[in-house]
Amino acid sequence: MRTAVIVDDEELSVEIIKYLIGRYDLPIEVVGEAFSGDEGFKLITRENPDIAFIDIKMPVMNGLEVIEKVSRDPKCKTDFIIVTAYDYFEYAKTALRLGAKDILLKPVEPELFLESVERILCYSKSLNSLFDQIIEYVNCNYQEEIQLQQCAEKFHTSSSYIARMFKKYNNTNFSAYLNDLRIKKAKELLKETDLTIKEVAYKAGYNNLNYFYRMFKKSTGITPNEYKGRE
Amino acid sequence: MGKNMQYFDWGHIEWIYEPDPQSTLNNMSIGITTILPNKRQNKHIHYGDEQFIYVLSGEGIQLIGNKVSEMKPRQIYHMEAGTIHETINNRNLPIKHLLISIPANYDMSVPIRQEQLPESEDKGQSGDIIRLNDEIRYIYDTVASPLNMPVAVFDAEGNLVIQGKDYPLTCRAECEAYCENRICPIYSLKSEYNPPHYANSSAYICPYGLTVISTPIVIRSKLIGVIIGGHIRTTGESSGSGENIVPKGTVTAILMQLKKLSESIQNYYIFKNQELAFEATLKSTKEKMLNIQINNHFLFNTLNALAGMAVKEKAFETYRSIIDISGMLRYISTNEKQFVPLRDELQYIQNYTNLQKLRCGEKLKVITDISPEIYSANIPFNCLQPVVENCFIHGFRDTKSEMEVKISGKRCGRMVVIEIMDNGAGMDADTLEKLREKIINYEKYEIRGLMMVYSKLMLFLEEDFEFIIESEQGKGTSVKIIYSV
Repeated sequence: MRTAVIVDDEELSVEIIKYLIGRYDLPIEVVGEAFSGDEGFKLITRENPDIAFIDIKMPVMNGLEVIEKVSRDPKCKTDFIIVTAYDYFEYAKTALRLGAKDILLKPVEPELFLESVERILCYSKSLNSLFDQIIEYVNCNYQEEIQLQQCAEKFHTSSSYIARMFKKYNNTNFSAYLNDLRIKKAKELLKETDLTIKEVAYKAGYNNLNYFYRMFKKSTGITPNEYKGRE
Repeated sequence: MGKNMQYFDWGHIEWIYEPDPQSTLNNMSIGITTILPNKRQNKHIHYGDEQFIYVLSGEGIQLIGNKVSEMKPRQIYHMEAGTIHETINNRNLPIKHLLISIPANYDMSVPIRQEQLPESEDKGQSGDIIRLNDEIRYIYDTVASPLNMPVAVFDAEGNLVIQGKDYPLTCRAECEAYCENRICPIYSLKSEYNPPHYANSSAYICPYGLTVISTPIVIRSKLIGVIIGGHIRTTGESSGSGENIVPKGTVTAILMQLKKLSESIQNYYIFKNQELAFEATLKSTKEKMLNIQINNHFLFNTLNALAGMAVKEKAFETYRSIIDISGMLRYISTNEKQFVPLRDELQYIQNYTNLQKLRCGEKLKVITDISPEIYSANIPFNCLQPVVENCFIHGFRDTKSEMEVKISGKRCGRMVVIEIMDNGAGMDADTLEKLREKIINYEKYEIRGLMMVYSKLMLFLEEDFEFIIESEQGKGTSVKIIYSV
């Protein structure tokens, strides 16, 4: 489960987002709402949610300012999705510079909303809610040691059933999926942070540095150092 | 036609008839000249027109060329173009004479140039724009400087814009007024012997025998300035400083050059004015666009609020429809591109047909069969929806059930084939032929529907496309657009 906040000065906009989260049965728990920029800033700082849906034009402080201010805190892990009626190129440019994950235009189109959230979740919803839960669990806990067997126990099912579902919906197997996910996270960390390779490996869920090097090279064809050095 | 009084230091001319340059081929101007007692028309020359004078009343002295005569009632004078003349009223009664003036050389005196300047809505602004200033100096330098004679440019109010130089010895040595003010006293004369709308040169003979030529600068029947210059000796009256007499051919050349200067200045301001008018239009268009955008924000925020309300009331169909209409509005109001990926056009059609479904319900079936490989092929913006809309306007005009629209698209070699088909009313062969005819001659008609689509395809794809309409009465209509990518 991910946590999310919604910051918009119009209550009806908040309604739509809550509705869409429910409609697509997304693993998102809305932990707070704010109706102005300054409140939004406080809310995000306090909750440090996984996702923030945020409007641009708001009283006191606009959404872009909020993002800029919040992002200064290195502990901030929030992914921002901007929701605005203003189709301005300037806004889009600033939003991208600030690292916002997406811009959705009001009124929000359901399909685009889903796509946008799935991009943050790092996976697409399948038709199987148990499988979605397992995928969500893997995505939230890749930093820990996860085993297929332990997963099966947690979700009261068998490891062979999980394996079949991975084959069916993702055409892969459990450990390959987990490894791909970890390499993807490691790539993000290499590009976006100044962490050492060792720290990256650890944060991506590898506690054996050699193994990380090997997996990284196998997946990308280059070493983590080479990857980091490439612009 | 109308009374037009022209006042001078020496009296006035009441123009009885002036040819309207916009609407007639007539050339003759008729006026009654009044020369007040003890006043004189100084020596002057009309280069552009010959004149006929019939003295009505009063007496005086008339000089034409070198011939001096007593001016009396019922006397007739004829002055060829380019003749010096002078009239002196040395009596106590005004001289009145009928004046008929005819352009001597038709080509040169096509009364005024008839540039159609764009009429700006804001008259005050564009009227003020034509004010001569120093920016024409580069024209002056190219055209007037080679003459090596004083040529000055004045604006319509008589303010000096460009000062003349190289005054001849006569001016510098003999003319007291010039020596005092560094400017020829004739320049301040406001006289205009020509009918006011003539764009021809005239000239004065100064007391020292020099000819000073005056060439008006006219735009749209409006005098915007005068070029005065020359200071050449054209007559035999000798002077101490003794400049050589300029031969007639040279005078003509000088006149031509001054005329050229006048025309160049006119053209400069006409062009500048057009540019300014264009800029003004552009600005107002931009403002309008901005207004639309501002309204857009209100519109989309409101639609968003409506969508939120629908969600709150659990009216999810309503929410869906608000999304569709918003999608359409955003697509047409914010798209600035000429070409768009087919995917966007299809999305637009889908928004549209979704809304049509809202009205028609289950009776409407929309079948879309597009091969994904053409999703990213480009197509001129808004070329498909009008065709689909036509199915509803014409095809399903009288249909109450079982409406079907089929939109298909595929790739055929380097061609993209898109077909929009309905099972509506269709049309008979005659009507179809007429429609095809109409579309090919789209320029003659109001641009909308299929004609709009066709004109867009013509504009952006030139000849590189096919637009095929097929129809059968009672069976339906099909429109095919085939173009290469």
